[in-house]
Amino acid sequence: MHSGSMATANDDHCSRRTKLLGLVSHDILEVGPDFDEHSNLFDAGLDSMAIMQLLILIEQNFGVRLPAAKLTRANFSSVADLARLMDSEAAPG
Amino acid sequence: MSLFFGKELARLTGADCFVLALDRMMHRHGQHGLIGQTHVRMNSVPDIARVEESARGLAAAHPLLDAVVRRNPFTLRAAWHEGRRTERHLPVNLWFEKGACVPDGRRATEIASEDVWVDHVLNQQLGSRNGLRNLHIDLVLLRGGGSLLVLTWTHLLFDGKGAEFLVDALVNPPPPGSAAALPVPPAVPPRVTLRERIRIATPVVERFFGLAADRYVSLAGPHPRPGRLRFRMLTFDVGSTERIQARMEAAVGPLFRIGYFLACALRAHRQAFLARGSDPAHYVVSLPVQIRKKGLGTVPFQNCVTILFFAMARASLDSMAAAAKLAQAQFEEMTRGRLDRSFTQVLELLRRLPSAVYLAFVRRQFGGEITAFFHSFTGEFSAGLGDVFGARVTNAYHIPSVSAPPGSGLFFGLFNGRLNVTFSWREGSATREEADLVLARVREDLLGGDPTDFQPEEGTGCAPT
Repeated sequence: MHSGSMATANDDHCSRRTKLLGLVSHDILEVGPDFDEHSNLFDAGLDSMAIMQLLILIEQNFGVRLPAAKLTRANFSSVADLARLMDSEAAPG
Repeated sequence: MSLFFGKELARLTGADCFVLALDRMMHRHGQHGLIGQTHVRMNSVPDIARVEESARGLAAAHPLLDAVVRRNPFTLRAAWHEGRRTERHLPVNLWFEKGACVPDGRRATEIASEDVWVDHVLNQQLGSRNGLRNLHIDLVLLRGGGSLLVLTWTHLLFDGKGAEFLVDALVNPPPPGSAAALPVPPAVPPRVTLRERIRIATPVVERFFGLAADRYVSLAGPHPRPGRLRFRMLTFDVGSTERIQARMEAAVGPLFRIGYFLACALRAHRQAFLARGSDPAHYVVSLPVQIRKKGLGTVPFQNCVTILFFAMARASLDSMAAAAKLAQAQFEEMTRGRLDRSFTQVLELLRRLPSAVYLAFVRRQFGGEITAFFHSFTGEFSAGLGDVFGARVTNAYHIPSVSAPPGSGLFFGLFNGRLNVTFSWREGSATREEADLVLARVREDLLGGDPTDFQPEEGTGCAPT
């Protein structure tokens, strides 16, 4: 892949993670100052309702629909993991 | 209104008013109101003096624990008003099973057994015993050396998650001299025009009209009736709970437990109907879901729930997998359609309706029934609850009361990797034999395979008659 494309892809990924962290912190969970993209979402209180609401927000804000069959506790456990999952679903081919 | 009622402390929300309507119906029909009981089971006896001191702190800090709900006759707005007592005293009532050791210098009342005592306390009017109007605290010393901390509370005060916050506040009191840990919200709804409120509320109202076409029944039937509250519990150990989780993941994936447990509750209730020689064509089940933002301890003193209404036809209950998938699909559909927000708005719109009128609407719409049965999954009980003043916590769960109608409820919760299942019912709405059938179906559906795999760990919670 061209280095320019890689830089753009990395920028997109970083900005997606930042935006996703904001959505989780403000719209889904009540979090403390130490909460970051590696904090465990389930330990922070994520439950079925919050998961569903987060999936809807991801669709609305990023245009990525995450199929329930692909969701696991491992790939949904932090904002960073979720962002990687979104990247893999959004990638062409 | 403080002229007549005492100082107003907090307004009731829409969800609180829904509970108020149920509570009033229950009082009118000899059911003692909608209460909940929270049990914290320990492997030894906690430092009783510290429990008492913490209880005193809670009583001093939270006037809502002794407050009264009154409806303004002019505005019809319901609110908590300060109780008449100038000093709020919240004792920790001490009991001991015969053979249990009572610490020196302590006075405790002997009881025949935990089961008999719990049955007795569950069927007493809250506020009639030694405690505050809306909360009692008891500590039962068990003959095996363990103990049971019991909080009995009115559902008007909060929901199950709120009760867990109160347990947290009891076992983790703030340092002396610091502010009370539990905020009381203003309960003022956001400023939204009536037109906008109606627009938001419309989707769930449309769903109600659809649901009303499919007549459903509860074990109690549509007419309110008195009856003692009974309950039975199952507690699955860590290994069994892991097996349950694995079976759930195979059916619906690892993340959405809500639909799986609902499917289990539906099939279990169907078992009770089949034993009566009937097999209802439809079920409509109300499922409360938290609308508190998850995470840090937030507001306890409210019913912070909305309700999703699931509709299942008999044919979809023939297998756990099919029922769970359909429940999950409805959950997704209702969440996408923002029916959670829609029902919250309906509750806000109905907030000022007198309780009798409130329920008259429900009963007219659904032929007297409220829901086929009550059901909830409260998730992990107060993550981090490890010990109570020196005594290690071995289990914690709720015993919800149920009104009749519907007469029964199945409730699921987790504590430290163990699944607790409570079946509550009203005498006259269901029988002990039906309770056995319900729980046998729960065991088989959750664990599969040989039902003898399961070894019950807890008592039945039912006093012998």
